[in-house]
Amino acid sequence: MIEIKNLYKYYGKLMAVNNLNLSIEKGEIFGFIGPNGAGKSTTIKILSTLLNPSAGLCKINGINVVEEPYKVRRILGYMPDLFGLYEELKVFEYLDFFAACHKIPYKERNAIINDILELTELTIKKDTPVGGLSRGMKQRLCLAKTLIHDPQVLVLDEPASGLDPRGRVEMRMLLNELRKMGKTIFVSSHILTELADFCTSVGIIEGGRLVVSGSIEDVVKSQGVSRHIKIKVLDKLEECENILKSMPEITNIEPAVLEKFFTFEMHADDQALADLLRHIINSGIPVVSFFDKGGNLEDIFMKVTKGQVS
Amino acid sequence: MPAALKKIYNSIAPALIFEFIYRQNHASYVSYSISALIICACFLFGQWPPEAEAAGYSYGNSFFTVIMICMIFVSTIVSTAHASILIAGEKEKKTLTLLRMSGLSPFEIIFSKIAVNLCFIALLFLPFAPLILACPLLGGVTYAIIFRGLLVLSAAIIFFTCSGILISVLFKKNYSCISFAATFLLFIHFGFFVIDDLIYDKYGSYYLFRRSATKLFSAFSPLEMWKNYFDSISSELYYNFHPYSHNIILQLSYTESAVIYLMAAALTTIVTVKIFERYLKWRED
Repeated sequence: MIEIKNLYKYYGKLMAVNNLNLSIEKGEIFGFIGPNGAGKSTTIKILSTLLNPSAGLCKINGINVVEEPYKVRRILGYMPDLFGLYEELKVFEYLDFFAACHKIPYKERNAIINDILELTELTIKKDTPVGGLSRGMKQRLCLAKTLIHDPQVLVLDEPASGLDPRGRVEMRMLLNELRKMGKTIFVSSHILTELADFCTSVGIIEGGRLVVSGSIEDVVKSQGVSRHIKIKVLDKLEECENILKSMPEITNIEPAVLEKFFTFEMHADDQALADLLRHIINSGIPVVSFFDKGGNLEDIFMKVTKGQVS
Repeated sequence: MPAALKKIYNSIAPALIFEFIYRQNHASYVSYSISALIICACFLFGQWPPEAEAAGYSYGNSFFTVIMICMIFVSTIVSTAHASILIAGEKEKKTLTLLRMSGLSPFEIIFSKIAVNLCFIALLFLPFAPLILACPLLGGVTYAIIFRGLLVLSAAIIFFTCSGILISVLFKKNYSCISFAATFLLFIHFGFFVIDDLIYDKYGSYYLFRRSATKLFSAFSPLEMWKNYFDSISSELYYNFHPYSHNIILQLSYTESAVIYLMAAALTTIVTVKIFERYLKWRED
């Protein structure tokens, strides 16, 4: 669906993107991670046909973004990190304007706008002036505008930036909903925990270079990052702690005595985890839950990046 | 509706609905119009001296001249200034990116903006219509003269609008656009006279205290176009009217000037459409 090959972008002598290669399949949510100035927004602007690359190939659904930008714009929804809104318009009018721009027939517009307002939970704000919306609602409105022409691919630049925790959760739920609708989503974000929750694959960029990419599981494995495990027991906390301490591959054991659980990190594959759980249960410890939180994206990010900018 | 017309309507409809229905700017436009009307009325009052009546001038001609000058003055400034902030305003509000990604082609964006500006000027001049239509009833001017004048005015407005839109694409901030639009207007009105002075009357200007005695480039100034138009009215009305003639190298009638302005407007629009995307991408670089 999205194909980037040997992509380079120079701003004068400054190399913003350095030989970037990516392939994202249909229906994936790809998390694009990188520190400020890493080249994320430049890559996103090239993908969105707003900027020409210095060299390389960029295709969306087989269409070259440089040669046929207007075709690409028809199948792509782009939400910039910094965007303005026509504050004097009402929410419905704002969406109606963009629907008209996309040449959606007048008779169909009302139904489409109502559906999108429902999806983005803005129905009750339909007649509110855009200027009167909260930051989170404005983000959702911009996303609603992005969805108005039912694009197959969504390119979202920091969609959750500046949102409060509730806004972030809502945005995450919305993106999950869009994923279920079969959209391919390319999303950049600084908030790594957020991406880990809903992305099917990630790419980490630094200094314009893609440092690592793939499914979160593959990235965790390839980087040898510990898995974060949480185990809750009913009783025998000390015995459980002793078992964990006896295993060399387990580190950072943190007991929470009152809540009766431990968190620890472990360099292990699925088989080793299954063996550990069996061993604990066979030792007569009543296990309430055993939860693999997976690899921590923040750990991977810190491991593979050095804080370089383009 | 023929397919081509429908396509044009579909292209400009969002912008027109946006500007005149959703944004509800028409309230301010009406207030501008009323202000303009009041100014015009003041001029008209001043144009009714008994001396003019004694001299045998027709009121209709005097009224029309004042209204026309008022319209030329307002349309020249407003069409250029308003057009010059239409795209720059979107840049300032950071909405241009959304507009570019909205499925509209550069031609549709530029054409919509031109249409919006022309509608804006039309709204602004709507209250002048009854005044102008009343002029022939007072004598001294015919509907044919008025019609020709309005056609020439339309050509000038289209040219200034297209130039304003080009300026708007080139600059990022509203104030830069307004400043450049003012410079552009000064140059197009007076710059050609200065060039003629510098080439042909350099010494004459200094030593004989006369300017622009020779005309070549000044034939392209809108001032010359309007002078020719008003001269043509006078020569139709007064048999003994002889316009002051210079050492003329190039003489254009007001219709030729209007055609040149229309062609320049078309060329400017084509250039604006062609450079729109490329220029914005280049600016990003």
